[in-house]
Amino acid sequence: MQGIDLDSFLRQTAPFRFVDEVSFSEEDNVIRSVRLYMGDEDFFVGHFPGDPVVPGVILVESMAQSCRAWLNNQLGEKAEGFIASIDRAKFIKPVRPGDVVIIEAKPLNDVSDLKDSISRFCRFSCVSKCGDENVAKASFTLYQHK
Amino acid sequence: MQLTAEMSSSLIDGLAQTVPFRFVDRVLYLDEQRVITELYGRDQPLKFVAGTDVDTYVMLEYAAQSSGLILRAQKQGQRGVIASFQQVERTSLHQVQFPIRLESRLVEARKPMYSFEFAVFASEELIVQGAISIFIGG
Repeated sequence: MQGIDLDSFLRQTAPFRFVDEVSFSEEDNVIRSVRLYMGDEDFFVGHFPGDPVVPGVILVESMAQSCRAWLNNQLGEKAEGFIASIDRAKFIKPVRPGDVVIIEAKPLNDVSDLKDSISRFCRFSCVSKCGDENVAKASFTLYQHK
Repeated sequence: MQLTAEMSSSLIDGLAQTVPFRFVDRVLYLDEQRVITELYGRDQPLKFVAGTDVDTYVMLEYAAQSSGLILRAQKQGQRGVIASFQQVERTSLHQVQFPIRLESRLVEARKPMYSFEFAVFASEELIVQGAISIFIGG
């Protein structure tokens, strides 16, 4: 597993960074990420008052940040971008304060031809787990500015 | 029906989500099948809206909270949670600025699961479209 330096390859910083560690296994072609939700994140105040749950859209953003860190690492830069499309995102179990979410993502297209490309799109398939249980799944395409 | 500012405020106050994770500022139209809302972003802390660009996740949550307004009668004290998004497409590669407007339409009701198609506009340009399913009872 090769660790990815998030400060070098991810523009998002606290409090809008939703991955703690990202690494990549070239052998398995899998991006693995870890995120511990401490409970002091601001969104818990409003989602929901007295019953904090990690919003599903934050789980999607977390998966996207994992993939973006890997993509920028592959491109050798710290590009900005956004989620261009979501084929499907499914939320299976609630994630609460204190939960550790493990994300496993697979890039679905080669990025070697993206370096000099004007349009940079890359598809990913992701699953987020707490322990052995799946909590969310998503397949989406990221767009990176050049 | 078209809603006054007072009716809009009352509906928004009834949302389960509160600031800083509330993503509806004005309800313009609401019936049992369709809702039109606006999001100005002015009360959102910058930490949730980086810079002036409206991030995709904001539009997804905006779609969820707006669509949930259609289900207020079905909720009966229960909470609606996002079950899934499908075929979401950001149609513009440009930066998106507030205010944004959303239209959502109920396309399938299979209690306790409800499915909607939504579209988000900025300055009358379509920015994001897709489908969302909301589960009541979460």
